[in-house]
Amino acid sequence: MSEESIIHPLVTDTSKFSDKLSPMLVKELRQGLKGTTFVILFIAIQVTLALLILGQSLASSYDNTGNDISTTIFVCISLATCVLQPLRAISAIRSEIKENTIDLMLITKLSAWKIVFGKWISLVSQSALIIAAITPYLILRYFFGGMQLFAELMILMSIFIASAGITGIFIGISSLPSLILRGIFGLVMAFYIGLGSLFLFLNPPTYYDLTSLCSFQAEYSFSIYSLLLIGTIYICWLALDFAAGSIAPIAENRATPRRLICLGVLTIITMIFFLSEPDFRRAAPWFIGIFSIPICIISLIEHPLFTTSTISIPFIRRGIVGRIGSYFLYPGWASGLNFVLILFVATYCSALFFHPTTSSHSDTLQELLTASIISFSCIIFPLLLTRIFFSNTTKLFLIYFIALLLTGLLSLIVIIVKESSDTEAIYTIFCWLPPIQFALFDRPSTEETAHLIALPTFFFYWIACFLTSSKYWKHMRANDAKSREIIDAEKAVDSPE
Amino acid sequence: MSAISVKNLYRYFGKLKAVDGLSFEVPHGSVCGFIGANGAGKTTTMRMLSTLDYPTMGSIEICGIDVVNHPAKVRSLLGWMPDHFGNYDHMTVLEYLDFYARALGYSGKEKHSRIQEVMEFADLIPLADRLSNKLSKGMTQRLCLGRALIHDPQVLILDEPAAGLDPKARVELKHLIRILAEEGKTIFISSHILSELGEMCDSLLFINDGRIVHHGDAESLLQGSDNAGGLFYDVQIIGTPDKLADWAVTSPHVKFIEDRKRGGKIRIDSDDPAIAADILRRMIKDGLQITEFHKEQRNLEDAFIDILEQQ
Repeated sequence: MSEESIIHPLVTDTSKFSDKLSPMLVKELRQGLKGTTFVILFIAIQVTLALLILGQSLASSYDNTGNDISTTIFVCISLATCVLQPLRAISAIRSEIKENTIDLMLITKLSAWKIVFGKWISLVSQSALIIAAITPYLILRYFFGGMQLFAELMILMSIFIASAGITGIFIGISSLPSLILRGIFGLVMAFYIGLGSLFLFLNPPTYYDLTSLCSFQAEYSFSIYSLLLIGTIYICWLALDFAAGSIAPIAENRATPRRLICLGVLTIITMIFFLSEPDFRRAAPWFIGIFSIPICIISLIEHPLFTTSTISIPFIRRGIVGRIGSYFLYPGWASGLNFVLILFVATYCSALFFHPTTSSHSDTLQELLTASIISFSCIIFPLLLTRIFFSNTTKLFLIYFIALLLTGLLSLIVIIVKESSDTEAIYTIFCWLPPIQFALFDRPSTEETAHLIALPTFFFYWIACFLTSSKYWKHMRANDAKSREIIDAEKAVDSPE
Repeated sequence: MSAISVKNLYRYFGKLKAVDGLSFEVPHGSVCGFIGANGAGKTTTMRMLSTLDYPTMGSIEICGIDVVNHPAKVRSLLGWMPDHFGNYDHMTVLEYLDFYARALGYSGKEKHSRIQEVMEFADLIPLADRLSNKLSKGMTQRLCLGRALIHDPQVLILDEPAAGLDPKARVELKHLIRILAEEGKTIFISSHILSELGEMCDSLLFINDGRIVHHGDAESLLQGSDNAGGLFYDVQIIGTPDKLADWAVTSPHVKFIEDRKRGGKIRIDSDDPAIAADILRRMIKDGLQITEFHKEQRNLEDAFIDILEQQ
């Protein structure tokens, strides 16, 4: 190729401003803003809002017109940015994989995370543009009076944050290989989010609660808002990281930072509860448990690939700390199982620490502990089924999800049979099913049984899974030995004497 | 040190052995043709070389760097052109190259000069403002080659670059690959058009069921299969090719290879002219109306089929 050449005018046309932005963002914006879906959505929301507000202002002759316009704006914006915009992401990653374009991107300097993050930020920017474009309607709404400026602006910001979070989740879903799973997750989520938005804004009591929360006038509103904000950021990041993990090369260790960050987030949540009002602290184990579930599932569905030396060397270099850390932080479900145990202990301890210790609360503490144990059993039990029946599967997520679904289905059948025949024995027969333990736990007559069997069942499942992981640990330790040889060889080169 | 070094490479997909113990080396600055039937393991091997897949066992080094442990370093050294890929909607050729140049870490004047250079090389300047998803197959392949060259890689891995191209586009692409080879780039290329590979490659690597069945230059391949495979004859008859095929089934030393318009191609598993003469005599005696009977020059396709049959 020639070294010296005159630069073609078209080549120099490429904007210098775009050089300062992420290439992925520029590419996605170039495509996204020109896409018919965005253009139609943008125009449709403008037309809908204009017509609805015009109609309302002409038809209404009572004092509440301002609030009605606010509600209309919020409903339209939330449907557009929390349902329709995220739905555009439903095949974001998979379509790139299908078209083979992901390979072309991955062999550049773009990391898997940059690709996924670029896609997310592009959609979020487009959502921001849609929200920004409704400013004229907000100004119009202001002149109708009765506007709670701070609360309504906070609601708008909350819609935007929720939209960003939901878009992240949809990008995470878009990395699932199964079209059926993507379809089920995507449509079910979109349906419930849409329904939730309508309920939130069109039902006066919930709208009132939302306004109180966003204006920080409700009890614990600052703590709740902080937790919701952290939760949204955390879930969104987790979903994006899950998507990045699905396209990253195996030498890129995503599991270790992911698990460490999750531990960090749980620590922050614990701190928020620690600093909040005593009555509010009781909710800590619930939040910690709920925040733990996604990372537990992701850790349990990571493929047990052989660990490359780039992954194991940083652990080996840290000596005994690294070796202990590797049992919990190495990529793959084998260490994920141990990591789940940490989160289980964290949830259990948070219940003991944050729950009031007075005698009047001792029953509810017992219930809380049992509920948390059963919840973790529900997560581990499908893994055990996967290990027993599909130990060599390459579709761990799909099989795990099917096992989870079948467990739920079997439990539902057992409950229906029990309710129709009123035979107590059926619960005793199927008490090994974690969801049935919830059913036992829900009835005063069998509550004690649930307390008694929950912990042994959890440990039985955990130990059974742990035993099936032994062969993967052998592979990993063999790889550790190779990595140790590499480290020794490097040391020998550094100090030839 | 070789540009590409593969040792005991295995790749399993469940129970399927896609790649089954490959070992080979490609020296710097050489062009290596990678040949195999569909499903032989070519694309899987090339994807592993390009850091896009990982081996179940074995090692791959590109310019001495391990592809599994140091994918980022390897990626800076290689250009990859897959067998099929989609283009982006609403993106011109220039925007497409601009994206990849920026993704490869170029900015400002350096980016402009790299884009300019590859656009000139692949003759993309007239297409600069055309939408990348509205290009013909030949133009798309040139665009993809341009993209693969933006960071001036030392090693190029091209998976079926000529597939689906018309003759003119194929000649253009072959010309571009030849220039790159002259510039000293190591090229690892797969194709179904064996005659083209024979012309442009320093070495040929035949793969079947994930295993190497031959590694050498085109001449040694023809020579090697000559020793084992016999000679090919074009036989033209009056009547349908079935007559010749049916006759060949019952005749020793003869194998019917393919139908032709007025007869077919046969293989005689001996290079003794007396046997060929005897076969011709038997044909006439058995009632075949021969209008033409002549020896054909062995080509790479024949050699490839021979090797597969020997396997």
